[in-house]
This record gives sequence, structure tokens and C-alpha cells, in this order.
Amino acid sequence: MTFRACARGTEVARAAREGRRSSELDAHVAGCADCREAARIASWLQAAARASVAAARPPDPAGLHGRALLEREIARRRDLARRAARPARLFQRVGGIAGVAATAAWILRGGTESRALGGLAGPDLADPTLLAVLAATIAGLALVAALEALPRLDRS
Amino acid sequence: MEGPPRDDAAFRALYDRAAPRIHAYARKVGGADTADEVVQDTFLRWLTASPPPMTEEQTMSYLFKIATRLTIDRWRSRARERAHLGEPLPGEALESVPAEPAARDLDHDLERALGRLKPRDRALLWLAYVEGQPHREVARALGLGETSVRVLLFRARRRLAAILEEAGLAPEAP
Repeated sequence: MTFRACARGTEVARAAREGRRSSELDAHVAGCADCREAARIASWLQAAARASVAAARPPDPAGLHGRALLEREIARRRDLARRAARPARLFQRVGGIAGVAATAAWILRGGTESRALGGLAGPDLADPTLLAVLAATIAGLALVAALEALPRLDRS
Repeated sequence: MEGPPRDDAAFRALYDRAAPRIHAYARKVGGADTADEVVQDTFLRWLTASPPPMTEEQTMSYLFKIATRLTIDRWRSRARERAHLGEPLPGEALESVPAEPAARDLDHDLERALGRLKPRDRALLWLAYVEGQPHREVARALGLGETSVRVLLFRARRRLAAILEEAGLAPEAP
């Protein structure tokens, strides 16, 4: 016998579950091998599942509701703390960016102002040690920014 | 109903109605050793998730959706552990239960038959045929498309029919 999935299979199963089948559905089932099998399997599964549900011994829920309320309260407070810390994080970032900008401006002064003017002049950009320190500082700042942008593990 | 109940008595009443159904489902789909854990975690997640107001039927679908994900996740991790230890996979062990006439009640037959299917197929059959959930809800619970559910459900039912036939448990026409 060749079976093909009939679109009314779930309807047949539901009718078997609820114990109500219309004459129209009965006529369809009589002529549809797939729905006949669906009705047979659904009835068997439902009877067997009733036995399983009757035999089920779920754990005592004592304390579950209280535990859930506590977890909700902890989550709510954590969220409030996160929101409260948001302006501080913003100031930290703005401060960091301002610091980098000020350092960059001071370095650039080295190329435009005469070294003969005194101690306020910027550093010598041709110095390889200074360039290495600058590159390491920029890489460090970029790393810190990238880590900050990543979703934190403890939030998941 | 207005989302999860705020007082313990209302929660207890709903738990008494829903928990045996979810426990039986978790036991048959994922195995007896994780069913208690699945039931507790399902209700805990539901209570802490603050879902929108739902009817009792929608609440049941929501609970079964959580239970399905927890059951399948736990089955997979147990399967990995057992594969590592060289033990039989959960579910496969059910086949070795002797079919003594006295023990051949419906619950036992169901366990033997479903134990030969994949957990996803067991979940599909239970949600669609026992819980009477529409394909859309089954698809949501299992993270599948509606079209896939129709095809996979058909195949799972055919497989179960063959298993029942082979085991001499083929059901009569209703």
C-alpha cells in the first residue's frame, strides 16, 4: 500500500483525542489510508499516554514558586544596577577618548613647533623607541575597547 | 489567565494539572532519569520569564515548548557522556526491557515502542497526537519549519506503525 502524507492527519488525531468525529471526517478517513493509520496510531498513543500520565510522579513543587520569585527579584536588581552604571561607563569612555585625543595633539605639536622653544615642545617623532611605545599604547587601548564591546559572559 | 500565578496556591493548582503531563512527556522523550529535573526547570523558567498573559491552552503549549528544549538538550548531553563511556544511548536501553506478559501494560508498551525512535520523533508524535498541538506549535517547540514538521511527523508515524507491527502491538482501528 502506498502512503502519502495527508493534510488532515492532525485533524484526525485531534478528533480522536477529543472523541468527536464528524460524518464528513469519517467519510474522509474511510477513503484515506494515511488518515486511517493516523487515527489508529493517535488512538493508541493517547491511550498509552493516559496510562503514563496516570503513573507520573512529578517532583514536589514546594519552594519552586518562592525560588522563582527570588530569581526574578535578583534579575530585576541586576538590571537596575546595570542601568545605574550606564552613565559611569559612558563617562569612562568619553574620558578615555579625550585622553587619547590630548596625547595625539601633544605628539603632533612636536612636528610643528620648534624644539628650541623649550620643554613644552612635543616629542621627537623620529625616535623609534617613542614610536614603539606609542604603537603599544594604541594597540592596548584598541584591545580594551574591543573587550568592552564584546557581550560579557556573566550577562548570558 | 494573567501569566504565571503570583501566589503559591494558584501556582500549585496549575502545577497539579500540568506537571503529570509534562513529566510523562519528559520521561518518554528523554528518559526517566532526567524527567524530574526537566519538570522543575520548565516551571522555574516559566515563572522567571514573565511571559505575556495567556489562556491555559497557550500556557500548556508554552510549558511544552520549554520542556521540549530542556528534554532534548539533556538527552543530547547524556548521549555524549554515554558515548564517551561506551554505554548504550538513552532510549536504546529501553529495548532491552523483557516483554513479559504481566508487564505488558500500555505504559510499558509505549516505552518500548518509543524507545526505538529518535527523541525528536518521540517529541513530534507526542506533541501532535497526544497533546493535539497544531503543526505551528510543534514547529515552534522543536525549532523546525511547519512543512518539515508535516513530513517528519508522517515519517515518525510510519516508523512507529512498523515498530508496533513488528512487536505485535499493532493497534486496532478505532
